[in-house]
Amino acid sequence: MAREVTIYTTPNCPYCKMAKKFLADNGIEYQEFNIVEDKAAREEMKNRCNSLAVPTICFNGEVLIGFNEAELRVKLGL
Amino acid sequence: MYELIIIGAGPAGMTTAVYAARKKLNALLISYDIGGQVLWTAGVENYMGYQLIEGSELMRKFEEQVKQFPLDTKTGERVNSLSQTNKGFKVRTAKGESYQARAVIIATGKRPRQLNIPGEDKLRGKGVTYCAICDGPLFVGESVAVIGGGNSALEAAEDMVKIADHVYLVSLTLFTGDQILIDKITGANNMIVLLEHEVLEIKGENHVKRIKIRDLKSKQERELDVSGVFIEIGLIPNSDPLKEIVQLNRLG
Repeated sequence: MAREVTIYTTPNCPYCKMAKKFLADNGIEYQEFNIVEDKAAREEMKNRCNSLAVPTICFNGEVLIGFNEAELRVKLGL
Repeated sequence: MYELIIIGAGPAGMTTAVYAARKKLNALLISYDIGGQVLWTAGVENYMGYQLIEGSELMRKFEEQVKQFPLDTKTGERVNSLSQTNKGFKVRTAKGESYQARAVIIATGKRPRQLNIPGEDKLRGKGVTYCAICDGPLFVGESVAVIGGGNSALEAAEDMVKIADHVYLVSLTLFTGDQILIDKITGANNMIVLLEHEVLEIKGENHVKRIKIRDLKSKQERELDVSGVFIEIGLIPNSDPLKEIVQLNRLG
């Protein structure tokens, strides 16, 4: 199934960098929103994803808060 | 079979890796991340040679130094167990891989300690955070509480006082952190320091709304309206997978 992966990040967040590297290493395309610069994305993350932490990774109705490689691997079917 | 396996790639593990590589040991560096706890620190002011350097930048420099050498490295791997064999040790990872070596150096670092109070688990990622450098920018212009009285709490409070409306610093004890950090935060007019106060509960449905605290001296309880709770009450060693063969003390 085609996935549209969205990742919300902050610039100094080490887990955001690890999550992006994981997605890239596994050939998963993603759209990134830096919530420090993009206030609308910050509100979207808060209201649509019910999250107040980064990284928040959303795809196909799934919301993963934080970077948990094992969980992400399962949810993405890798 | 390796001569040496180094578990953990924080400053200790990466320094070990450089020493092992210079001795041309057949060594493996295995770690979940590169940089460890230093990655959680925005600015490092006490690493000799640098008056101020970002934690992530310092760790990038460490990694560069490790990569100068032809050393086997496995990252993104959590070690699940360490056991003894006839010839040395076997390391098993969460991915099901196993590696053997004559010797193992454990440099697995620590993880944040939890408060273990009502509301903490339910509201994790919804205002409760253990990573100020990650989630601090989400609370621009809002009121937050930083829990703890040590250096990590003081650093989080220092970061938050610049961007938050109000910062409550709530500590069970008197300050235990460095005086230079205490001086930095105590003068700020949007900082409210509550020493010898206990956090009893974190409240909110979808997001954090308030915390309930108790003054240890007067026993009075009250609630503070906050949208973020930064828990910085110390660290627990990542020693669980190692306890089969390493004797741990009461602190782990």
